[in-house]
Amino acid sequence: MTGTETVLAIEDLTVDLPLSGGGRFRALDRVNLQVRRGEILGLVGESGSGKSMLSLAVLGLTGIAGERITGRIALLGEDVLGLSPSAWRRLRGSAVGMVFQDPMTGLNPVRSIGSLLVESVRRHQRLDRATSKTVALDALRSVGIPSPEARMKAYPHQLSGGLRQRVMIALALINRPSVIIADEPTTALDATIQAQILDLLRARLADRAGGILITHDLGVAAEVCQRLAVIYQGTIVEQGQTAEVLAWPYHPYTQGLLDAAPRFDRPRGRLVPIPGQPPQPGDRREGCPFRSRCAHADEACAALPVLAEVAPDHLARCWHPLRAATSPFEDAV
Amino acid sequence: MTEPLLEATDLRVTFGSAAGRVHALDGVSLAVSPGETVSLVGESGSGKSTLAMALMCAVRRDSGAIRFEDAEIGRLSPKALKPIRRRLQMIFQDPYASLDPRLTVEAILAEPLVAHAIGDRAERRTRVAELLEQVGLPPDAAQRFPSQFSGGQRQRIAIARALALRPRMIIADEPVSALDVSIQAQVVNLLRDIQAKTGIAYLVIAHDLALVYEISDRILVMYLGRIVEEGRAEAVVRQPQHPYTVALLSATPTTDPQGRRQRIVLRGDPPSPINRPGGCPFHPRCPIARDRCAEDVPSLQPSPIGGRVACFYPGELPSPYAKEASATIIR
Repeated sequence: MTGTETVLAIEDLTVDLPLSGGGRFRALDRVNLQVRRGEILGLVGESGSGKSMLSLAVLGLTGIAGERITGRIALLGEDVLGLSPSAWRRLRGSAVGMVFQDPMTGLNPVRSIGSLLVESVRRHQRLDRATSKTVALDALRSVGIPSPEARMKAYPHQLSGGLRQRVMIALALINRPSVIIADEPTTALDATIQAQILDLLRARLADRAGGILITHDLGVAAEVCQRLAVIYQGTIVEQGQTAEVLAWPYHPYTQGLLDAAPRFDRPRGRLVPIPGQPPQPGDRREGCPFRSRCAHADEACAALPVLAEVAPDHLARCWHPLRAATSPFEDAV
Repeated sequence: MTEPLLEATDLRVTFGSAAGRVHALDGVSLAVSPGETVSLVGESGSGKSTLAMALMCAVRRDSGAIRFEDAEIGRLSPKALKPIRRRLQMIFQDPYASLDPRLTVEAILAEPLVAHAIGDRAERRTRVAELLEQVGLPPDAAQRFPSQFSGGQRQRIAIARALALRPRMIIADEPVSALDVSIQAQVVNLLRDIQAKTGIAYLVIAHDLALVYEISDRILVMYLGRIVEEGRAEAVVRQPQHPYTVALLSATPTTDPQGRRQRIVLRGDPPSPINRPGGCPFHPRCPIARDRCAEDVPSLQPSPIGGRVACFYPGELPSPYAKEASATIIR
């Protein structure tokens, strides 16, 4: 079960990026997140929400000319923001593993699966070739790849999308990292393969590590994450235990996402869209970022609300939360 | 039962490849009535996009007939097809790739009118204004370029272009899957409003069964170039007859805690259409397959829920959503 040790702490992380036409825009605004060992946190947002920027920052993969990053990212208590590229290379693949959306671009196409895995083990664990090969085979077995000996010789393009994503997960886990960042790991996969990979992530991600699953799909997050953070225009607007956030959302945006998605357990013909368009880079940000699309917005929303505790272990950033800040159990009656 | 608007019988399409013959469509029949929404759902390699192209007569068929508005269109020359295309239009998945970036929205929307020599310049301008209003875009959108619009707005432009010639039917290939959830619902509702006003029929190709359930009157489930189940949307979700339909239902991620109770996770990948398994094409992944399924191919037969199913043991697996959706949403 979930331990108490915090493996990843993000504090007041703010990322400003240059705009092509001059000036800057704020991609992330004072984001605070903690991931405990054995826990998967879901970071849910639409395009332009800043969710992928967060994954790049945690992996030390930003490096955009003119960027400005402030705040703190602590990996196992150690500050990693501002580390040198070579220090990051030592951390990536060992202390922190990553799974991206597209395993075709995430895996070097001219290297066999075996050589990718063995190289990672040798680089980070300083093991000899024979032992590294055993570790690599075990890693392939642990992610459910059939006939791993044969797959070691295969190249990424010779595998199906589902198998490639399993290889990517094996590679992310092979050096037993404390933190895994998975950015839309199933978005490119077919439904039945997505279900397999979500099962695998659920079983293996939380083994020893903690992780962040970044997704646009609340359903995917609901399937694997114990806790959820909903992000809108670079700002966390709601955060809490998954089951509670989904059953009793306080922020109108979270409710809006739930109402807009089709579901088998609801009558047909009742999708409620969120009006307007998602924010674009460079859009003015003043006050609540969601207010231009929010049915509850009024003058108060010209100022940014704080991310306040609305129930135990449940935070929301809204002047007009959808329910009174109280025990959800009273509310459900 | 009304006469079908579009009817395809026993469509077969094969492609040659270095690895062998690909049976992309293996005897597919379907019908769409006026004003109806029918959806094709399936995973990659199921043949759903090939079917769309075959129905548009944009791919060479080995055999099969296509009737549209009581006329056989499957053997027409490109020139003879042109008047048909006025009444049978298409929308594509990617609103970034399907609109010419060098044309203004007005030119994009007027292009089908010009191609079919409809109206003079002033009449076309009036029609463009009507179309923009119909899809919920401001009048000044006419003078702007696609790059000045978001994904959802671009898909509105693509819909307006498809509507320009007042078609009786639109084939839409993944019309909302490139859009954010909040915008998907806007476009789904727009398509529904247009249907209510004009009586247009839709054939929608999609991979997302929850979306398909939301928008469709009838659902066709495809696997490896065949239809394996067909039925009314509510029936297919509550009482699916084919085990593959049940697997798709249980594989769809959901925020509904009830939906996550029991699920079937299929082992393995969908087989390649090049090496189709013998017998029932689904049997190597099927949780209820018996010996017979490896030998005989089940044909599409009338199913107990009023549709069709291609399975020797239909209805054995229960739906994770067997209960009727309640009319009230508990908040």
